[in-house]
Amino acid sequence: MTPDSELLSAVHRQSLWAPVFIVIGALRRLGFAQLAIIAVVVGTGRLPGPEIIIIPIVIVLLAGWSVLSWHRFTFSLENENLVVERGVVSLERVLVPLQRIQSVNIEQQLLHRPVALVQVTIDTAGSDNKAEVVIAATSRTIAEAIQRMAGSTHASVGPETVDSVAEQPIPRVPSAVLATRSPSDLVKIALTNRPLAGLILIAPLAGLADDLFDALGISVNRSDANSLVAFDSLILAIGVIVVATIGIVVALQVVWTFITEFGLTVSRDGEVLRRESGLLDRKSASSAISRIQQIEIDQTPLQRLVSHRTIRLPTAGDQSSLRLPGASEGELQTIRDLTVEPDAQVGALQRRIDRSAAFYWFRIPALGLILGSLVTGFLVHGAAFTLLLLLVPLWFYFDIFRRRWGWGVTDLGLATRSGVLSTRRIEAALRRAQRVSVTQNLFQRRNGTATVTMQTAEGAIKIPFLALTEAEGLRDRVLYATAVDLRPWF
Amino acid sequence: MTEPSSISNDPLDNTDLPQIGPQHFERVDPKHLTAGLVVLTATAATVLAFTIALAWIVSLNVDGSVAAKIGALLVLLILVGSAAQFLYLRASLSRLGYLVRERDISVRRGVLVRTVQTIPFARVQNVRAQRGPLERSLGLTSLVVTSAGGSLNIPGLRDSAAQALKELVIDRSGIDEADQ
Repeated sequence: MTPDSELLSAVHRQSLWAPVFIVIGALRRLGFAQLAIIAVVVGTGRLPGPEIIIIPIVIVLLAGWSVLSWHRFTFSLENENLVVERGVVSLERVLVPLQRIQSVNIEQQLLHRPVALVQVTIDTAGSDNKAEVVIAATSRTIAEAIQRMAGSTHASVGPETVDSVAEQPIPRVPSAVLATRSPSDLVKIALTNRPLAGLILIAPLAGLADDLFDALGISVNRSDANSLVAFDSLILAIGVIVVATIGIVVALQVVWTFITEFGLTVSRDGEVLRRESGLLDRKSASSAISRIQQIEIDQTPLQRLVSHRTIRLPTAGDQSSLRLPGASEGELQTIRDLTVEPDAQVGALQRRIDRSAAFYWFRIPALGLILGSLVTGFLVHGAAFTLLLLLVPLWFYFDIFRRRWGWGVTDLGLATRSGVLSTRRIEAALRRAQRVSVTQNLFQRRNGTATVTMQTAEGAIKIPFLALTEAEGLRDRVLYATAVDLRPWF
Repeated sequence: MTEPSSISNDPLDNTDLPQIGPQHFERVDPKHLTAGLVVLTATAATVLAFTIALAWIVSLNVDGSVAAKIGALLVLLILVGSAAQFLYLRASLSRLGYLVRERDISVRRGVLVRTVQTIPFARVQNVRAQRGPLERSLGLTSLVVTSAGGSLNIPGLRDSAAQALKELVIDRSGIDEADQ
């Protein structure tokens, strides 16, 4: 018996502080904003009447309910199962087999800090978006013991190998820090994270443009000698607004990155990958490495400039808890070696998709452009016809997009890369496939191409516009790998 | 990461792999078309009745001949639409098929967008047989095979065939009945 299982085998209650956090959690679900609005609406314009009696009643009820739900909530470890009993009105006994647990997330919210407690969220593959078990407040020791226990149990490989796997002691890999982010890293991450997003904020300003220009003393329609000067100031004003908005958004991004990612550490503890971060609320997400379904690597042009990328490691039911922004090439390789076994890694993605893809993507925006410029040209001003020239760069964009679309497959792994400016690369072992489809729409049928989709327990790898025989070959290869590669997929 | 010792990992030529050919797909029961037809007829009849009633009410209040013309046009449109829908249903029935191999189950479907979806038995989480009132009266069952990443739906199976297929999938995928 390990110290962890010994600790957890006793029946535990949440911390004595838990009722407070239960109430806060319940109020948060109701929405503080709504409650405030109700209070204001009910309370405005008159002195409190006799109905004020409701307030102490509600408080007493809330307190009673939270204490009762604290008292009823117990958890313990029994024979590889986490047993949770809970419920205020109807009692519930939940049995969570440790090996079904997909991820254990520890979160220390701001209010948890003074009392040195944490919240534990336990997810299983079966729980659709709603956590199976939430322990509102407990000590970090217990929380981390649960994390380790959930990560250490290994799912059996198949009926024929159960015994041999069970007999082997699991090698204990010492914990190691894989990546950390210093404050200066965080600034870099924030600055390279889509700074142009700020332009979206400008869109509503366009509606106010006239008033704004009036206020600035600029008249757009004036046709006297001043018009040139006015036009200059107009450009200047727009420029100032654009720069200011981008500046504000970048500043907000830096602040937000510091709040969420401060002290970001990704570490490996045995077979568990853990990520911790947060300035106010400390969050710790962890998952058994073998449960990571695929690896997703995103890179914006600015990130490419500083050779950063964002890595996401989805596990079943949890798309984005394990996320590492600002990763270097070395860190990427470390994480890739952990999550995609070396024999399933795909090197250079040299395979390409069919030429017809470019026309498929081009035709709808092109049609919109043609119709738009013709209508505007005939009805408003002939100059709009020159918009048709945009068809040329549009075509080149989609053609480059098609040329850059790369994929590769080995006997045990599949990877794709797409995008011209911002790129995304996805890699997964073929045995992670849950469902494989070959789809042909009308356009693809005319060109004899098809789309292959390999769906994993969280996410999918999709390759469009392969020659039909190639697509079917890829599908057959994935299915073959699910049969021969018997390492666990979950 | 446990590493089973007996994984062969030789380079493969695609042509050596077992393939899913178009000829092997099993068609579903033709009564599935009847089920579709009943739904189609019921919908079309409701829409028709509603349109005629509306045209009649309008004709009482405003110019009768215009309302009658528009009403007739709408009725014609509904009939043509229903006929097209019927042809589509028939085409989709002839495309709908399933294929069971040693290690996986596939469904082929779709008229305009054609797709073949496959779930390996080793990834099946559960199998569910579904029968709505209409399906019950026709002796049909839909089988839903679910994995951790998407599911397959095979509608229009004869009850006995669905039961046999369900047992086959359970048997092949080694799911405990108790798990269901």
